[in-house]
Amino acid sequence: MIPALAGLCTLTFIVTAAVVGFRLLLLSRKSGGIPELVFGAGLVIIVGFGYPMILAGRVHVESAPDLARVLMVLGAIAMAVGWTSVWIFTWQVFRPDSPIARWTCYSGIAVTACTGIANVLRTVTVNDPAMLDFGELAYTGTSLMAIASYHWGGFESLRYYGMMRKRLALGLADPVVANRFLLWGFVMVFSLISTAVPTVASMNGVDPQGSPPLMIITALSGLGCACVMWLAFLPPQAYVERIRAVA
Amino acid sequence: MGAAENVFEFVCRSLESSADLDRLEARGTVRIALKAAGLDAKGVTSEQMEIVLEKVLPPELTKRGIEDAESVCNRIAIRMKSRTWSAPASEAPDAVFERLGGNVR
Repeated sequence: MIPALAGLCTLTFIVTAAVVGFRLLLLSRKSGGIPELVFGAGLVIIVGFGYPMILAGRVHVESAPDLARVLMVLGAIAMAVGWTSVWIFTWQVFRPDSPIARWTCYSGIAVTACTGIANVLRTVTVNDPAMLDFGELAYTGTSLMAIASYHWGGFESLRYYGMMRKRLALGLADPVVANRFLLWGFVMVFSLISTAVPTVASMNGVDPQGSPPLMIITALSGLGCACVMWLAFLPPQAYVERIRAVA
Repeated sequence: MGAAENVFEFVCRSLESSADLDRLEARGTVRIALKAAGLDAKGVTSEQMEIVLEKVLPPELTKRGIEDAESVCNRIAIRMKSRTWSAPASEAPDAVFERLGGNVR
């Protein structure tokens, strides 16, 4: 029951994120904007390629360990590449002129690349197939960098939402756009939870895939992420009207 | 008046000459007003500053003992509107987020 529920939530997240990612890529073709190009590509790489590869790898760990190893390597590369998009998006949207933000982004990408390479090497060389998806420093390092990027993205978005609320009171902001900053902040928070929970569990020697409570937390945060992402980037007309009416 | 003067610099400089405030007081007061409006000195546009001059800055100036603060702000707003301002160097986050939602407005 719990694995089925978790699988449904994961599938919902993958489909939603893929649709949003492709939509942002289409938007970038029209607008020429860097943020939608970077994040759209990142989403498509993570959910359209990386995440499915890792999930497929987990399924084949016992039945076909060599295939699982290849899938895990491809997944690890895709996830590391995709996660760099969060660093670039946050820098480009919120602080494009700040040298500190630029170097924070560069540093985040550099460390993510190093941990990603180490993770690939570990996946290639680990002897026990059961350890393919289980926490070691390289695996944990990549996840910690993703968590750091979600912290930064969430902080910037929620800070900007606070500014937009003040502007709303003066008629200087669109309530739907203001709400989008709140939703994006929640996308970052849910992403953080869904990454942090299995990472912390792995660091403490717990297999996140074997623990029903952890599976539920991760799956629900993925579902929450899908919902707020949908409302942020593909808002139904009824939701838009509701936000305007409340404002 | 420098070629690179932005809206914030212009209002601060105008406030120094119109009200009895030194440079530091003028800049500090305008920054406080901008913060109360959810704006920042670097990215504020003339349209946004117009609202700040109308609704937020006068009470801040009155608190600091400036008489007839509304008239002072009104005069600054008129001078500001008579000038042409270049767009900020980078796109504002709200402009990006408006676009990401597909211009639902």
